[in-house]
Amino acid sequence: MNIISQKKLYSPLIAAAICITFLFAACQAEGDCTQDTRTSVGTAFFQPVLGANQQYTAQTLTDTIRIKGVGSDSFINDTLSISAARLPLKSFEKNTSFVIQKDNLKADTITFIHDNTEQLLSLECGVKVIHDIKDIRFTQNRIDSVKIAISRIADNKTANQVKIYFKVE
Amino acid sequence: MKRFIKVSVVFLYLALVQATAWAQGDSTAVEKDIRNIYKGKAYRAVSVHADIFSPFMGRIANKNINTFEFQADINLYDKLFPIVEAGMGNISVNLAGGQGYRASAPFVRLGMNYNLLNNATKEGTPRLIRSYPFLGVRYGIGVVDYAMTNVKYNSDYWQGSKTHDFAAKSTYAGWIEIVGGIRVDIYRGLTMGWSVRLKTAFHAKNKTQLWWTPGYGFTQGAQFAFNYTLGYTLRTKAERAKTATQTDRK
Repeated sequence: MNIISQKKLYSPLIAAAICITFLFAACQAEGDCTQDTRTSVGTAFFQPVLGANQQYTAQTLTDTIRIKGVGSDSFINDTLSISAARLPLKSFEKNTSFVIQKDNLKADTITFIHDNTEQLLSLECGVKVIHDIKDIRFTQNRIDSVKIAISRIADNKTANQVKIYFKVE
Repeated sequence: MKRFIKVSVVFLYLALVQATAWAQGDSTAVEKDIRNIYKGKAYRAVSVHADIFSPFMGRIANKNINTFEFQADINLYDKLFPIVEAGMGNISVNLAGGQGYRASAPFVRLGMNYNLLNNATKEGTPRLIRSYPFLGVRYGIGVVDYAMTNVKYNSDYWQGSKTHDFAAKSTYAGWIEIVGGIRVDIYRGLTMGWSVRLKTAFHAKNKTQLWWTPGYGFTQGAQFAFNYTLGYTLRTKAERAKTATQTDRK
């Protein structure tokens, strides 16, 4: 095969190879983060309901529940009627407290005691903090009990990780 | 990973087809079709090439990347080409979010190319091969010094801000490459070639901290690369004599 016929054969192949490589190289260059890097506690609210058998059973509560972090100026929920909420824990401290007020009744304070583990996702996405809940302390003005269903908080979407049971009204 | 599996399946299929073609021979010796022979002296030539495209390849991915590499291979039976590739790369970049990344390292790749042309005629006599298409595999190694700075924590509600730095020296990184290309003899040993390669199976101790690795590229996922080389092939006296004989016949 002489040089001229080699060029005829190889030139379109070279052009195709370069184009394909450029395409993939451009697609793989640095970009914005597309992952949700936040973590929060999926919290559900329950209230006791008297059944036909005169026994109380816990049922999902939907009510106006105001939630605000202790030390923060903004409400997680203020006027909406909700049955669940996502509570973000502090990344740099091991205690996070929230004030929870159901239906304008007397408020309670709930404190999460947790460990924090840092996980590097990528240069673009940064560090995600995974929490392990060790204990929950709470006042009992309107809250009857709190149950930890899932202690490891690793994402922003898992529900029913902590269950808060309110007292009978 | 899916691309790696697809390319591997194609490569294995081609190898299987060729192996089947070799195996399907008439049992009668006279009619046997010999397409590749491995007789005589194995060593035929040594080639040294510089990749003149890899500096541009780095810049295409990110203008802060500098990289270059060389190749050296030996010719065995005009069929197998053990090859060593070596080079250096570095990056120093600040992202729009304020994060910084610096890395530099030498890298080396060890592997083999396989000439897709038959090195013998149907009658079993050696063919004169100077230009050929090839498929190859590589194992790449890098020993990387890197530093990741101002990596952010995410804490929207509590509005705390904190950043973290990661750094390490002499971190081992390895990967696998599948290569396909062409090597062309231009004039009296002056050779050029090009290849495309799929880089995959990247592994390292702190993989997420290696954002970009010399010799591999961006480490999130498989990478494609294109190489264009210029160099020289030094053939043995016997091989050079073959060329002269061929020219005389013309």
